[in-house]
Amino acid sequence: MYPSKHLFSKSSRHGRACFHTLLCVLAFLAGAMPLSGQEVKKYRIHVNSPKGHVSGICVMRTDTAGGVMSVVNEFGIKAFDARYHARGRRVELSGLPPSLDRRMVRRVLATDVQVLFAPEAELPRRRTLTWGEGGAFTLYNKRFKIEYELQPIEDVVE
Amino acid sequence: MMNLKKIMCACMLGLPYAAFAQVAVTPSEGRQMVAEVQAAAAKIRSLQCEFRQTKQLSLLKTTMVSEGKMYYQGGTALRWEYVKPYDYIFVLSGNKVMLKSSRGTDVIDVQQSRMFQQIARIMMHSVTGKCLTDDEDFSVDMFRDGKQWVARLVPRQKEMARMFSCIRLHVDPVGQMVTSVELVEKGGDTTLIEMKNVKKNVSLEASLFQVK
Repeated sequence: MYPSKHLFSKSSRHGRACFHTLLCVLAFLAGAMPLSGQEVKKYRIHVNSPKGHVSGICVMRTDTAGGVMSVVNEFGIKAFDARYHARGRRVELSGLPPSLDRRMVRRVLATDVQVLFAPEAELPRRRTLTWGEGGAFTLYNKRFKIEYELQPIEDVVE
Repeated sequence: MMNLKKIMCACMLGLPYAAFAQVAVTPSEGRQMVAEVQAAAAKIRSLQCEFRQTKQLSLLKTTMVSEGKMYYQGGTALRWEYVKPYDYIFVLSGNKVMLKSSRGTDVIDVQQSRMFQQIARIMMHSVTGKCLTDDEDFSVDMFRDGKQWVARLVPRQKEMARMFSCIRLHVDPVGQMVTSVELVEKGGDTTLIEMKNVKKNVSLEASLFQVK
């Protein structure tokens, strides 16, 4: 493991520095790299509100830096996409249909979606979260009475 | 050596074209293909099959697969039933649509929603290929792709055009049946629905299409 004696001689001071630098870099990488990078989760989603309810599928990919999400209906038609930046807990929405593409709706939805990405984190105001079995959870927006129920679903085996 | 280099460059430039399988047909060939599919569709009184739906999510770079069964009754009723990984039933019968999941059932009057009318009509016509002559809804181009025919439908209606760039129907020219439907969304996502174990003109229970 250790270099032979000749590398510690004055003539190989440069070589010793390189070797130590390499050891430091390797130690840093071994400690800092997560064993698994990104995780993909798939949920059945039901959204209930005073104006009605809709259902669909929510697929999200998350890592330590944030994540991305697509919400589609059962036929696979896109409802919207979302990007989450863990630093600052910021959510960017895209692909919203015209009926949802309004400033107030985007603001409320972005704050709610922030919780869906990171349900273990501190909740924004006027929201509650309850956990069910097997990773299911329900987010309730008390102000607008919107409920998001997420139920994990398994992949179809090929 | 220079000649060899030129030959290799020519081969590499030609490879993409060699790999491109879909070949556009002449207008008259296209009309003939459409006529054959329509003639076969006119003979379909009922249809039953299993389907596999694969959704490509471009943002997540992953796919979502679901499976189910489809039942079609003579231009008047359609049942689209997802079995895994979630249960969900869509029944179109006359002017009513029923959406049923484990959470409950909704019944919608198709007449009240133009969008729903369009979707219902397209779903009914896509399974048999009748949509190839829906001039009001689509412009149609026909292609050959190996042993299959491919119809590329571009939506004309504003609501559909907002959602889809095009819809591709893959047709088996021997059985003259639609074998798969590919929906290409504006954002780049695609949904491929592959039909298998297709049974034509079998007797179907009326209860399959009950809206309640």
